[in-house]
Amino acid sequence: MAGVGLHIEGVEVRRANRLVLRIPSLAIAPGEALAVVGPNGAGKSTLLSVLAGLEHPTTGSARIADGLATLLPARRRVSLLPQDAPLLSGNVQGNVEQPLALRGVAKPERRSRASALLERMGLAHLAKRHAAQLSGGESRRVALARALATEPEALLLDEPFNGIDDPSRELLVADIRASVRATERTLVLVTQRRDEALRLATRLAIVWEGEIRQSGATEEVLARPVDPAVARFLGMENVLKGRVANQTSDGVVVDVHGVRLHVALERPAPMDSEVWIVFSPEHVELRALDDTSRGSPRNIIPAQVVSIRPREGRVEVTLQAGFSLVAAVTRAAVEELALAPGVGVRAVIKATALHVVPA
Amino acid sequence: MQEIFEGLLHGARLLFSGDPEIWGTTGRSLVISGCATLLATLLAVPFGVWIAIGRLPARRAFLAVLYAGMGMPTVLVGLVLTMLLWREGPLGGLGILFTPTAVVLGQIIIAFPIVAGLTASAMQGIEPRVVLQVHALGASGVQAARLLAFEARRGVIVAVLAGFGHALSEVGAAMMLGGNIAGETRVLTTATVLAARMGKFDLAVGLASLLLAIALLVNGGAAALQPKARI
Repeated sequence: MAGVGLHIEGVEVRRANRLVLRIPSLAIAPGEALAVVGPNGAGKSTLLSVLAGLEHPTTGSARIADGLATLLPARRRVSLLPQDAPLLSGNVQGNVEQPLALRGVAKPERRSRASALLERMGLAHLAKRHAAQLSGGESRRVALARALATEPEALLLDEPFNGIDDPSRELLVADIRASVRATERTLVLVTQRRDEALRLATRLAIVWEGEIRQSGATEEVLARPVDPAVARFLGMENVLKGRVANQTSDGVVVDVHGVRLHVALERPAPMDSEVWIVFSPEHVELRALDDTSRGSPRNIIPAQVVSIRPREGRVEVTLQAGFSLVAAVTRAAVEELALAPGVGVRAVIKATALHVVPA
Repeated sequence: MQEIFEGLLHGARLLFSGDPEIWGTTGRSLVISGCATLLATLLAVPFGVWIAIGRLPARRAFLAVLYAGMGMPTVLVGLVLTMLLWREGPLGGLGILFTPTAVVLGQIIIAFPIVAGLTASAMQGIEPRVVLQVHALGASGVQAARLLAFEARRGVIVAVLAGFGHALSEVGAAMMLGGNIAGETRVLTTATVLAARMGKFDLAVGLASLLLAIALLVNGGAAALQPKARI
């Protein structure tokens, strides 16, 4: 079984006269893995519902292969796992059999197919357990098993990892990867997290205020957001406005509040033009003031620590360098540099880590 | 007060004495109201489900009519049906006035809005994510309605029990459409009215106690179906 292509043409969804989604065109190739990210209320779930044929767009249409997505035969070729996918009354086995029962699969066959699937996903021990007695992670994995029971040609997942602990998340990621790789089925994953997009998808679409703001290869989009808002959403908390002061052989020099930053660019920006420089806090390295080793980085900026606060596995250090700058460093680095508010440091940033967006 | 107390004692005696007329009237009440509720359920549950989840342009208007119907005076139902079923009326040819069939018909009309309205209300209580999930499983419209009604089964059963309780305890339609004919259309409510009119208050209170006991049983069943308190 291979994947199926999903297409959207001229779709608009309006609710109570409010435009919630406008996608002029979107094509997801058979077997492609697309991650859709965007802030809350951006229209991601609506997009997924339209792709799955569960939402009738106000204008335009969605197609699953050649069939209109809203028609039952086309709809049954794909499987949507909604956000917080609830299990229905009954036990786990019954829940996994349900989509097969809806397609008229005879009881002995659906029983054996559901049992085999639960076995394969390591959930066989839960088969007789009532849905209400499962933990959040177990419930989510059973919901995924149910979505896979019909061997859909496309799997549409709406934030499947929300609200579950890390071990459960890892199991679920493994389940999804296995189910997609083994069958080459099409995958559309709505997520808020970059790491999930990177691990599961080859293409990334940023949905913003009901529109696809940017789309492309996952790593490319994550490295080169199209505007400051998208950059901030993708975790590039350093968004600086500057002016192109010089053009070099491999990029430009941008003046940001009197500080000159070297930016590697394939196509130089016009002289004197206003630009945004965006980069991730992970790309800011901190060194002691008396550390004069230069190395390859082109940008070494004296700065003063303003605040320090812990952040998932790292420490976020806010600096003042003539402009506000955020660095994400290890706890070891904090101790080694004796970082504290008021302490002077050097912020080191590679020219290739900076991305320029026209203002 | 003395009469009420004696009536309760009389009711208990009636219950355990095995009086054929009392048990006959009780059985007839249960059969007539049971048939009416069963038939109303067959019509009203699908209707309530449709009102709740169907693509309906005037859903609120439908619901408003249904909820208004829940408080419909039973005597009005009796009056309208009597006029329709009267020998010279448009449905007079059926010849069912003053028969149990006419009472069943009246009680169907009385129970329908209660069963349909409470079913719709139970269905509307289903979380939108469950509705989306059911459709996401690949359910057709009818399959989705069936699955969602099952998810709301507690509320639907309570709706049916409420319809039965209302049909059993109504007197207006039973009196007008059945005529309170002994051994044929006399039910607990009309028998109670007759006993009170004849000054047999102990009998009236006894019959009313029987009615109350049945109502308590039905409502007790409905209460037992409610989930346990979580707070």
